[in-house]
Amino acid sequence: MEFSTYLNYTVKDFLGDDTFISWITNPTDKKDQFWQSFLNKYPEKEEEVSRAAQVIKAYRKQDTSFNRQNQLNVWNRIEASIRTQKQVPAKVISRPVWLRMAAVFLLATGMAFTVWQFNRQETISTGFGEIRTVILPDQSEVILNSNSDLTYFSGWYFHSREVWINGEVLFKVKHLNRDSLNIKPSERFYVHSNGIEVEVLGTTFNVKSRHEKTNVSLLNGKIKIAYLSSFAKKESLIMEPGDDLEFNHNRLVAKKVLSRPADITLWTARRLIFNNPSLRKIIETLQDEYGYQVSVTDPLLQNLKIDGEIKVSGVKELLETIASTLHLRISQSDKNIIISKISK
Amino acid sequence: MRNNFPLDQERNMLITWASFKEGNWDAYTLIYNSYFKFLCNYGYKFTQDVNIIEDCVHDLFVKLWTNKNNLGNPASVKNYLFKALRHAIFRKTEVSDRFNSIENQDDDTYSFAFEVSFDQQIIAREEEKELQSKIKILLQDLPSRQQEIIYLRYYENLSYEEIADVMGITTSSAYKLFYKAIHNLQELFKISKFKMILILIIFLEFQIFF
Repeated sequence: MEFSTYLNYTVKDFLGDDTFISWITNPTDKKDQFWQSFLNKYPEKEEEVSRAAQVIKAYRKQDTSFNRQNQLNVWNRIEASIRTQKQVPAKVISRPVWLRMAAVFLLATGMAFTVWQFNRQETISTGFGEIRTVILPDQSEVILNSNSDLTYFSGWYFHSREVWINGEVLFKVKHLNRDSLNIKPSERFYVHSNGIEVEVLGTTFNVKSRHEKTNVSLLNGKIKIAYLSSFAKKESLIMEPGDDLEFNHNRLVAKKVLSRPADITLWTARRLIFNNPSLRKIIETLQDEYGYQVSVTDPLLQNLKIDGEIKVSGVKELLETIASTLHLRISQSDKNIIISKISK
Repeated sequence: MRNNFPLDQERNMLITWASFKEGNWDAYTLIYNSYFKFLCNYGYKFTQDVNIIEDCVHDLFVKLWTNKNNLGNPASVKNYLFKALRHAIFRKTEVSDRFNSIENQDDDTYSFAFEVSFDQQIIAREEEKELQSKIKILLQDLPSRQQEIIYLRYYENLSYEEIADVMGITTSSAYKLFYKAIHNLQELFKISKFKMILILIIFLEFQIFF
């Protein structure tokens, strides 16, 4: 600030001057210096400066209504009020316009929901060791084995019944068709898994799809399977009851006729069923369906086979059976299983 | 004389404020303890009923804690609290409606006497005493809003922008109001030669001490 500014200042002007007020109310060495040198240069302004300073200083020497005890008392009151403050529920104010808007919004949402409902993707999945029975919208029954999932789009009234699966699922598809000469799209039921397509009208069959390998076993009725031939040509064949087809990815690799087709449903009763299984097969089941981590000290052990049939109710019994029939040592801690030879 | 809250402390207070908004109880306590005195002093200018001031400070701080999630970030915590307390006192004494209409009519007063009260113990000199009693008499005749702006400007050292914010007026209104107030204090500036010499002595002493 230039000195010249203050040459014509009256007391009143000083009292209203920001620089001056700031000097009096919040003095610093720098401000003191400025005003001191101003007064040295223009002593005739001393009267005005001192008077203005006096007014402000005198004014600032006011009573202060302050008391430490009061500060503490008020604080205690504040603390008490906050502690006892109850959560007051927000008042619901009903405004006609607001309500109308909400109603319109709800209606729109409802309509959107209805449309969406008919084309909604539904996924049912099971964890390790879990078996689950689900009734589909067409009243067909599906049973998911452990570590499996099934996906479909709702709205089967409008299009054919179609599901996608991973893992093992037993289908008991409801037969909707009444006139075999006239089959409507919605009367067909499709299962997609690992590149193959199963088309049925109403039967009981099992699809097991793990590690690129898919087994389709038919209990009764007829099913049509579409798959790719070795020349990447789309082919299809009709399965008869008791047939068991094995696909690797989408190629047909084996065709068997089951001696006891009814056995394909036995797993649904939480029973472990194996027919002349290799140890590798058993290990696979333990890992895929029950979530165990199985390690074998010698890889060759996996080729060991159990002659005959194993029908057990649980993993514990299964491990005991393997240990006694194959003369192996099996140690288990939580989800880890180690299979080793019995050292002699 | 350096009873203003130092600037860097004001800046730290903004950090404390942010921390309080996140629910930090210690920060909240610090804010209370830092400003209780300033708030009481300011409140005392509106009413000499200490109970009303303390009730207002209580309500203000309880409200702050309850609404901490919805609070903004003020440029100055102190000014924010001043404004809130001013509002609370007006509300409590049920003059808010009148106050608002006053604002609109550009009137200069509200029902409060903006009291000036000097601490007798501090006053040592007769000359100073005389000046103070003169200030008191003059200010008493001023409209309360002019008294308030003098307080905020000289006592709390607020800028015009800050005063405008606290008092809920525009900056140019604050500027005008302040000059009106100073104009009304003209009487103080008329000084006899004899008194002038005395005052000069006092002033020079101030220069030595400060």
